[in-house]
Amino acid sequence: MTCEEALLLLSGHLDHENTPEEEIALQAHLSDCGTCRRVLQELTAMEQELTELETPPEDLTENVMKMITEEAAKGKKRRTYRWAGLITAAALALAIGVGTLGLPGEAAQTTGNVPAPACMVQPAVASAPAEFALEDDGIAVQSETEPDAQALADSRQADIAVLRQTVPELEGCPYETLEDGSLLYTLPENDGAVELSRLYGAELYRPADGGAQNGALALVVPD
Amino acid sequence: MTEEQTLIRRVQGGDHEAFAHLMSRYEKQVYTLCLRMSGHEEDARDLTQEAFLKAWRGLRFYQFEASFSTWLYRLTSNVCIDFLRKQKRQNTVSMTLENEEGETEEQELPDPAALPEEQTIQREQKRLLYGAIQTLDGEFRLALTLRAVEQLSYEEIGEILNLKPGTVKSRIARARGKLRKILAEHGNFFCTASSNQEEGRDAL
Repeated sequence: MTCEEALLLLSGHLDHENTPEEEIALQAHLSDCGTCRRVLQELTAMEQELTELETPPEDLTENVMKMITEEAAKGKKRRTYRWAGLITAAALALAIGVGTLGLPGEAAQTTGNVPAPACMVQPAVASAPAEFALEDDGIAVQSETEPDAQALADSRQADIAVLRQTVPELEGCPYETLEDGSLLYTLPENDGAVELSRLYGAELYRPADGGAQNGALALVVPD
Repeated sequence: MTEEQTLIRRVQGGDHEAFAHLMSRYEKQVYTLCLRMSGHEEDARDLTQEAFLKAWRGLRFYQFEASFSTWLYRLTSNVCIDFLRKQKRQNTVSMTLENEEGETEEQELPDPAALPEEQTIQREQKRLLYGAIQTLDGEFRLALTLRAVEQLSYEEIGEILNLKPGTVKSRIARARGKLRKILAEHGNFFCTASSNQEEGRDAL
């Protein structure tokens, strides 16, 4: 055994990862090699320093908890906005429906948020309240999905392509239903999510910039 | 169900306090990993915060398929790898060179004489060690740290780094060998250890 080969076993010895045969071979080498005996001694001394844990700054937990609380509050607010958007949309639909039936006035007034009696489709949509416009322009929807999809990618250690509807490539792939009703498909190929992003312009979320990866997923979030 | 699993379930139900408990169990390990990888306290603090924030977000989707500690260290490792890559991109014109094995070439360690006199030998040893660790290539540093600090098996480290256990073993051995060489060449790291030269054999 060369000293270089012995280093592999010395290190394995420190980690208790050698096989019994490797231990015997190492011992035989050490009985003949003073240099490696010294190396073992130095590695052992180094190990004591290496395994020592450091103490994090005192305010670490506090800072993280503050971030989490803020994020949770923001999430709640976003959901409220989304609700507001949906209610307004329903109100608009109602107003438009009523408008086309030729009955303006009352229905529109009860919604509060919808300005002016909506007699015509176009003007009513154009004057939709701000939060509805925000929800409907696609950007707000994206920012709603973003932290979740990234968290999912980090948690599952996989690339994720986010789609608004199913595509033929997903047919036959195993999937699970998430609590919000989105469908999470497991793709057969590791570069599947990248491919869906290329084909359909799906937003792509990755656990780390080219880091370790355990496969690819597709998240279908219906509009 | 273990106490930890109960805590995780509570976190998944939105319980902030349970997450604080979970953090207190792992903050030292996560912080030490970040410190070894970044080499700076400020960066380590930011990276630790980022890792725990990601853990909070990701726990919703955690399915108990891997042990929680492995899951958390993998997530933290990725945060650190991302950080090192970004740092590398920012320093593309720096003088750091890589040899054919992907390890960064040895750099001069900071002058020990620049330290304040009141610092103890122990602190000096630690400083030497940290300086030496920073000369290792990021992935070698990570494999060694996951072993030494987090006490993970070669198999678990292999899962995190997508490597075979045999490759993990050789990476860790080479990282140790290189560290030892640097520390033997610089300063007096092994002075106290060398007083009992024959003890090495007894350790077996």
